[in-house]
Amino acid sequence: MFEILSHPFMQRALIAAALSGLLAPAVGMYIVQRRLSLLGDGLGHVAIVGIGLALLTGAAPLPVAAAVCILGALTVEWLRQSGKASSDTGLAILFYGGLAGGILLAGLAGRGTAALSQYLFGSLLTVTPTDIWLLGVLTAFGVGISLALAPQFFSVCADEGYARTQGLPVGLLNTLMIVSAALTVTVSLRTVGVLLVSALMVVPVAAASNLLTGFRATLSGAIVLGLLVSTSGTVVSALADTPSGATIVVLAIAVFLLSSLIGRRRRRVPLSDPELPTLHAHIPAEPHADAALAMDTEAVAAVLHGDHVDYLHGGHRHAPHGDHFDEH
Amino acid sequence: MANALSAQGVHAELGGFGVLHGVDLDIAAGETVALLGGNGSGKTTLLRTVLGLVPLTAGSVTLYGTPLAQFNDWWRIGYVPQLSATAVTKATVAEIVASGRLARRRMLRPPSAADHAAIRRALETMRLTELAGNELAELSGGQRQRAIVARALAGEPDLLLLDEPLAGLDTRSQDALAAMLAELKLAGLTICVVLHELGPMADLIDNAAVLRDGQRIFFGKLAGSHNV
Ligand SMILES: Nc1ncnc2c1ncn2[C@@H]1O[C@H](COP(=O)(O)OP(=O)(O)OP(=O)(O)O)[C@@H](O)[C@H]1O
Ligand SMILES: [Mg+2]
Ligand SMILES: [Zn+2]
Ligand SMILES: [Zn+2]
Ligand SMILES: [Zn+2]
Repeated sequence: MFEILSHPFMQRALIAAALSGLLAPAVGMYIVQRRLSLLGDGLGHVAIVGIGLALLTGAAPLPVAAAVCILGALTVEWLRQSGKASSDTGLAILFYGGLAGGILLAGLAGRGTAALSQYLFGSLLTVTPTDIWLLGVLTAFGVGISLALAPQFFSVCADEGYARTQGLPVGLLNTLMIVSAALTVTVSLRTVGVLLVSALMVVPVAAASNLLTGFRATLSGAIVLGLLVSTSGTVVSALADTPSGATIVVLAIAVFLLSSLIGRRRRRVPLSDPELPTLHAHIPAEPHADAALAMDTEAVAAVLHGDHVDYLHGGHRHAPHGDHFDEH
Repeated sequence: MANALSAQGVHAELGGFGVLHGVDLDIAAGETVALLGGNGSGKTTLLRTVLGLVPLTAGSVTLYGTPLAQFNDWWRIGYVPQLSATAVTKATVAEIVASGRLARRRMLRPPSAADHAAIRRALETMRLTELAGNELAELSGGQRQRAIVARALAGEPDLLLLDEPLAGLDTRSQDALAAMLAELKLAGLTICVVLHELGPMADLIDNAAVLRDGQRIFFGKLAGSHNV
């Protein structure tokens, strides 16, 4: 087993796997809280255009994929913030356009889908030394902002409207979050591939959430679990000669299942329904010469009655009801 | 001195339907105003509009004399949203309450001693100290309501907008909140509170505004309240 680790390509594979194992849950935590789990998937599809473009132009695939993916992420966020993506249709077009465009470009490059498949499913053993540097920088950036801005991101996840009323730059934070998701996709191209990247973002978070209490603990736990499954999955895949991406994801799911078994039981309490005050019967007031006076709120005393205001008139109360007054 | 909150002729729409039709609301610094009206009368929408969460289609809002669009001193503003509108995230009570302090903190800086003290006080006021490490999803509705009230208190705001803060609270928590608000009012806090029943808040209220169908049908002092 340790002999395997002495190969430089294997060392690079392990480092690359560790990097995406760190980054994917660090970003996935926010993506899961915001119920955007399919976003990683969608951005993965967009990355395929980048790969196709790189194949066509002969450029290095990772930087091109990163650029295209970030561009795609910014477009998605712009659609979301401008309210144009209220239906999923816009996003679906972008994502499937990405997949189809990538396949088309790869075809034009005369490389067909075979050249794409290593990015669809990951192929750790093809990681180059330059890749490692790029992956390292992207991971440092993504994990860095995920941890450094954790309180702000948390507030946006918990209640975006409330976060706005506290003067947080919600638009900027959302953009940073989605750009980090794009970086995660890029970093994971070699490890788990675009088709499984969402799993690495979501599953460790779900497992940590079963085991731990609170946001911060879950975030840290998810990063640790992500690191564990990605590195051990890589070793297992090398030993058993299985595809790395699938091995990592299956391992992550096994950890999740285990966490569901040992996780503490959650008891959910239903929200209590705010009770309405008892309403009174509708009894129209007899016409008074001065009934209109009751609308002159300066002139008469007002008392709160359940969900409305009554006006005191001598010994009794009036309440405005449409064009007349009721006796209350 | 400028009013803490001044809303003039506020119109707002939700989903293309007019919900507020020219509402005025002025709250002087230090004043406590109750916002009353039946379900769907527009109380929540009015609060969300003066906070900039729902766009104005006509009219104007100023906070401490500054038009809403230019307002930056959000640390002066506290907000307790209506509970039923708040989603439950993976968080402990302490984490949710601490997030109410962010407007007073600089980004990328650890919380100061004053931040910790304010968070601890807010937890104590809402009797949440014991529950601080518990997960939000495991609380009862009333306990969760206490957590989002504590979140607003932790920010030590100058103007506090509360949307039905008493809903779901047991009498002890209602009394504790009313007593805390009375104390803060003495220290100068301005309050705008949506209520269905005045309950223990009655003594606090300086003026009441009553909404019906997105219009203000009453503004002034209440002589009291009665229940049939
Ligand atoms: N998303 C929406 N789209 C269209 N109309 C909406 C939307 N949300 C609320 N409304 C309508 O706006 C009106 C005002 O709602 P609002 O929540 O402000 O009432 P409220 O006075 O706070 O009521 P409650 O006492 O039930 O909290 C209601 O008639 C409601 O039906
Ligand atoms: Mg409401
Ligand atoms: Zn009445
Ligand atoms: Zn009469
Ligand atoms: Zn009537």
